[in-house]
Amino acid sequence: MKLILIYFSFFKKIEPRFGVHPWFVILTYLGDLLKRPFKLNIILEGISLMLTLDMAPIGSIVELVQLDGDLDIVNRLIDMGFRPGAQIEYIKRMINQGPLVLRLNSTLLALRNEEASCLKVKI
Amino acid sequence: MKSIKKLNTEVVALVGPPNAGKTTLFNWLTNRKYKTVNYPGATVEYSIASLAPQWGVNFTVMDTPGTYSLHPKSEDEEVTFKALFHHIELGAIRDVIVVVDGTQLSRHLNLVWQLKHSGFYLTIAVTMSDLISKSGYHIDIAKLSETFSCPVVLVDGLLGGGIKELVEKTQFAREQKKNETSERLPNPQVLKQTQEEQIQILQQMNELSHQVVIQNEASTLKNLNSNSNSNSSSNSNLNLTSKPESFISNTSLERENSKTSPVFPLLERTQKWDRWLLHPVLGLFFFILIMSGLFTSIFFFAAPFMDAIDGFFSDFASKVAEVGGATLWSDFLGNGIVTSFGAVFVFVPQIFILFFLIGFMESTGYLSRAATLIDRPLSFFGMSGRSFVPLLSGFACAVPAIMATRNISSKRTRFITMMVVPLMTCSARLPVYALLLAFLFRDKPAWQAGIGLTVLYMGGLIAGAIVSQFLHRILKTEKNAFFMMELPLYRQPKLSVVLNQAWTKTMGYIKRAGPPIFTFALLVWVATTFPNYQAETDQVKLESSYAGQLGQYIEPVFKPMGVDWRVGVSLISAFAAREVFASSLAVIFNVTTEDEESMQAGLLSSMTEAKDASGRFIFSTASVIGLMLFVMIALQCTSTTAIVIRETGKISWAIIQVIAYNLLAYVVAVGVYQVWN
Repeated sequence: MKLILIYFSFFKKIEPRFGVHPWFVILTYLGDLLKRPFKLNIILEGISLMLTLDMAPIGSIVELVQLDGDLDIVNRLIDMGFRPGAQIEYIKRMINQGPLVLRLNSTLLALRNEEASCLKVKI
Repeated sequence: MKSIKKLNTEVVALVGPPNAGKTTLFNWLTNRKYKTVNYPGATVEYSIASLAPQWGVNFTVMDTPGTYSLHPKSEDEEVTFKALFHHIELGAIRDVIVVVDGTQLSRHLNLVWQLKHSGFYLTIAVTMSDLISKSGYHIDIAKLSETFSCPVVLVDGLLGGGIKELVEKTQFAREQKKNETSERLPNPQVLKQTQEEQIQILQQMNELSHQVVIQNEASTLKNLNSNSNSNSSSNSNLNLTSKPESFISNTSLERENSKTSPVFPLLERTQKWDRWLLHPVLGLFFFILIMSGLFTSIFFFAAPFMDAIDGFFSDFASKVAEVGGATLWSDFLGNGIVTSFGAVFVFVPQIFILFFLIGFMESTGYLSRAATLIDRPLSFFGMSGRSFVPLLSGFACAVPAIMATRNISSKRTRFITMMVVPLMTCSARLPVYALLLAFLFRDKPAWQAGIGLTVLYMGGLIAGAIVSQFLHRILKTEKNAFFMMELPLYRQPKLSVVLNQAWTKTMGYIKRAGPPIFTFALLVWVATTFPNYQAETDQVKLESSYAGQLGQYIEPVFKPMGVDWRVGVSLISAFAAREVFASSLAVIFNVTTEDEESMQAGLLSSMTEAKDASGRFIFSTASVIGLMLFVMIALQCTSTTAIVIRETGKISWAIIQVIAYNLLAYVVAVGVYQVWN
């Protein structure tokens, strides 16, 4: 049941034009669960899909594609140095959907969910 | 307003992103002799000072709060913006030293671009240059200088290298422009860009940073490192040779992700530490451990100093009384002036230690991690991780704590934090608790009173949680609650800078909170002395004084709490400063011994015997617990109210806060007493 719910939540977030295979969702979930997302990266090699950063698996290194969402937040993110093409390492997340810890170049940053969801990334 | 803008060429502003080493540089430039001033009309502080004499040049330097860009978003950044473009007192600034972190150039050059294009004359100071050269890189100063057509200087914050050069180059640039007659004012309008343009500039700056930070070639590396010890140079060589040539490329993608990043060793170390300190579960455990260590040390280390200060002032007061005899003048000096000074100074050690420890944690880089850890739990109460530092400071004194809320960019979060901070057990409540607990647990082992104190501290936290949850429910939600926090790399703090900062902040506290505490202490003295100041005993004098008359008049109010007018007067006098409660009580119950130790004992015994008009004991278990709860909740602090008015900009909320907390405190105290009996 939980799996199905997660499936739907993913489905809504992902850009429809890219399309997504149900297996991706299951694998992402497992990857999150096992905290071994590098497996996922290998599997997904060659498939290009876009999702928001808060939906990306923990531990993955993603490429920022575009900034989209609330204007104030996006402007702030740009000020912090988030630019399309930048590589972001999603390191960890605090408990209970807390802030995400990530690395942008050599800077470590903490972002809340609503801020991370303005970052559209490509795995 | 715009027409009276003038150009100020005497002041050089120091601008830079947070954590770029701006404050350290400012300390070097000014020899740590600066004053913090408030921006007129706003409450954010910035520092201003003349250049230290050893640099041989004379101009004024202004430190500004850290900002990522010239698009202001929090109050801190707003002030930097205003101070630069249209400072009310200083006029518009022309010369700027922009401080950027050499290891973060790709992000920080953005600010340089913005400053340049809004028309400032820049000098770029690149910090952390020592780190870069240690990792086998160097910064192409010529290229950077050419791009922005301004002088670029590498500085070393830890050892102070490059400061002289920075000062000289800034001065040279200023003198060159002296003859320029056209008063070209810097103009923020240029920065009105679309998002695409902003991103484009960001991309350009990123490219530039990769062109500017260049890996040393093996031959030049030897020359560069010839002065440094052989150890580090061999390390760098190792780094170079162990990497395949193709890996060392200047394309942005590889640089960002590869281990050739100039700060890689530091980053690796930081992440190793973070595995524990920022662990989602264990991190919270370490957090609690560190916080309890912090509080223990505040009380532990401050205790001897507080005793010394307290002893000094009570000695001094009794000396004054001795010398002056029983005149009104000596009473005024001893009980009025000296005692109220003592009330201000006795908490200075605790506040200094708290400021020092907070500054220490901040400069190691832990504080922002603590904020990250606690963000989610606090968001349940409508606050954010950024509320953590104000709440923590609230345990020393609410006044600096409320000032610390400026760092919170969300208005709603900031407001809730400001409302909750006065409920944290500030150090002024401690003497009152100490007295009442000593009464409640007399002839009992000390650990019981200790547990009682812990319960009271927790009680303050619980009350804060309830109030914030209540406000969180009733206030309408705000769209943008920013958190977005940079987690700086762990680094060793420079102790002298941290100590100096703590000292400056403590002095600031004395200057700000001192006068109101002092004034109200004097008022209480007047109210408890006049009109019948020639009465034979202190008790008669007090009973017939204005305060006594007022106390008897409002006695019906305090009756339900189980106390009589004498305690009522003490509670009212505690509005000057909470700790006054104990001394007022001593005066009212006619405890005359001057010695500190026996004064407490004397007060305790007269408290045990005290009966009200109908012959009932005033201090029963129920009424003492009621009193403690009253002190816990009530906002008996005029300086807190004053600062809330200043920070919210409105009187209404401060008044609501005072009425609500005192009413709540009263209701709770009455409830406890009535139910208990």
